[in-house]
Amino acid sequence: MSEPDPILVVSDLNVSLASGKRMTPILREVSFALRPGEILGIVGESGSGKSLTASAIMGLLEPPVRIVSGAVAFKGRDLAALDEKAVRAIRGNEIAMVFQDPAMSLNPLLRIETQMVESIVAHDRGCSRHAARERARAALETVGVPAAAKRLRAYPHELSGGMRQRVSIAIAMLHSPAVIIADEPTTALDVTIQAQILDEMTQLCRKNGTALIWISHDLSLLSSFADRICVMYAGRVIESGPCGEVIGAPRHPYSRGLILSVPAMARAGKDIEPIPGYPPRVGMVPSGCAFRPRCHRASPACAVQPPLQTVASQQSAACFHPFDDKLQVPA
Amino acid sequence: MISFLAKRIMQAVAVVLATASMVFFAVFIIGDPAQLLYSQNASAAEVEAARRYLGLDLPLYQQYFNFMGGLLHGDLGRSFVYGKPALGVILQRLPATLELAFASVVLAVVVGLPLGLYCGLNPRTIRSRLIMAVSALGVSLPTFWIGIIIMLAFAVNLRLLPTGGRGNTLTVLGVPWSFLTIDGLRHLLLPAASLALWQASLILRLTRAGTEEVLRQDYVRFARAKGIAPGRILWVHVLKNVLAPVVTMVGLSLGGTIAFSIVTESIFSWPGAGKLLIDSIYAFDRPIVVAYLMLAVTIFVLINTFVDLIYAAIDPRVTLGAADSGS
Repeated sequence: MSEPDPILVVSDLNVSLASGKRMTPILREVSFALRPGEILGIVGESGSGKSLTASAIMGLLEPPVRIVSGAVAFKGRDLAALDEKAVRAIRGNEIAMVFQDPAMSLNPLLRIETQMVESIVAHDRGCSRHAARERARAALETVGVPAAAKRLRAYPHELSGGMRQRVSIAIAMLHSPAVIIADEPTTALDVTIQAQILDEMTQLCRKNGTALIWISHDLSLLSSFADRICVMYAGRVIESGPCGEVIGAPRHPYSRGLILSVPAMARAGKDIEPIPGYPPRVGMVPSGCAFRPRCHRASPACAVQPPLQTVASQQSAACFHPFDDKLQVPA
Repeated sequence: MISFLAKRIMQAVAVVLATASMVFFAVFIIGDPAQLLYSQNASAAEVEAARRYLGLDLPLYQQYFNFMGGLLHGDLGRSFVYGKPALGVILQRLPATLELAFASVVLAVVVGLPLGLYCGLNPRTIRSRLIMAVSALGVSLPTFWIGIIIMLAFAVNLRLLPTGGRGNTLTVLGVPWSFLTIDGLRHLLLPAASLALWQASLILRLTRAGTEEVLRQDYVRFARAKGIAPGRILWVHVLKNVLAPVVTMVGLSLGGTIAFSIVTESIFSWPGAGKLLIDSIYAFDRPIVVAYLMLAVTIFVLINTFVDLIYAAIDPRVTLGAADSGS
């Protein structure tokens, strides 16, 4: 079985915070590939660099944070090397984004219609106002917003959190992008709404063949729908592979710790096992393997950064002492 | 909307009556105008006759009721000094003050808003740091000192502009206006600029802070993620959100300038109502002082109502009338 060529390849992406002449690395050698229609979950604690990775791909990094080296190849073009105007033509059109908090991501002073129509017109200059409004209405209906025509006239504060996030998703899907980056899009919502939105969004993406990067700190949530998973720690991808393998047989001690600290995923009858210590702060990341101080398998060899290398057929981990057994998953 | 305005008018009437009463008693405590109105060598009988003529011989409560009764008929009393209806005396001087106040506010907005936006968008450049430093001076230097200094610089030393007065005026609707003639504009520029500096600095700082805050908001990042052009993000997404507090500030500032541009009017011999107020306080001319402050309060309330209307037009989360609505 041959895999289709990836649509988005992030390779050796280094992002730093420049202060004066000093550069503080925030993302280090981040690499992953996304195939068309695939759902990639990126998981990590807050500060692990997962949201920053999304901003870097979208070209939304704000100075003094910037890409130092590496490439973001989308359909063969390096987005990091394109000028702002060229990237803008891709943003919202071929790669779209959904943010975490729908209360913050819609402009409170503009009608839903204004915010949708401007998105349409930004990439489709010939579109008349009337046609754009019609498209906006249809897009709202697709994501399950009832009375769409009425909602178009509403302001964001007149909608519930779930409805607002549906509007954001509808906006992201307006131009049928090849890739949608969703940065914790359900975290700010009620649990029941979370499940609904997740379901609808993944189904729509599968139906349209849209590849999805779903960023989350919630591994058990990701494990229910992602095709592949990247685990990030201290600005680095430390393990990646097919969802079943990463969840079922995590190789990196951090991935394993992450899974065992989730009550629902820990083995039945056993206590949850929190990872000791705290993740390092930006600028204070230890040399070598950043997880070393918290790792019970660490050895002197870990003073050198282990490369992300293949440990099983499709699974890679950045560790000199990877696990090679499966986790006992409760039946 | 209607109930909002009705409520506002009721509030305004209450505030105006309360102000009128307070000022009425306060001026009574300060002194007796009859003593000042007549020369030292006027006989006691003459002064007494004057007191009776002005109604100052009556007990205080009776003077107060006469005054309040007059108010209900739209009569604010006659000026002791000018012998004419107080309101008429003030209204004659008011257009000059209004003209100066509006000119200074327009100047402040035209200068402060764009500079504030610039500093908010480019906070790290040397130019915006320089602008911020000047604006820090602008909010801290006293207006009267600025007035004297720019008069010294532009009128006395450089001889570019006149030192005072209204210059040539053009009469429209029975009122003389300076801003309609070139010479009048030249006379208007210095006093307006000295009043505008403080306001412009404040507007600038408010706009800069607002811009920096709004730029950090997710909706601006989302707009960028949608591929919206930077121009539209600035003029539609950012500016609208920055404007709301600035509108409030401009309203307050306009009210303050109309009511209390007294010092600047004195420095530039601008024949406005502020100068009239000072003279009337010295002369214990109670009807003028009371009427002036009532008018000032009314203008304040009017401007604030107008600001609220604009605010509601900008921000859909603000609803008029309801006390507790939105976030």
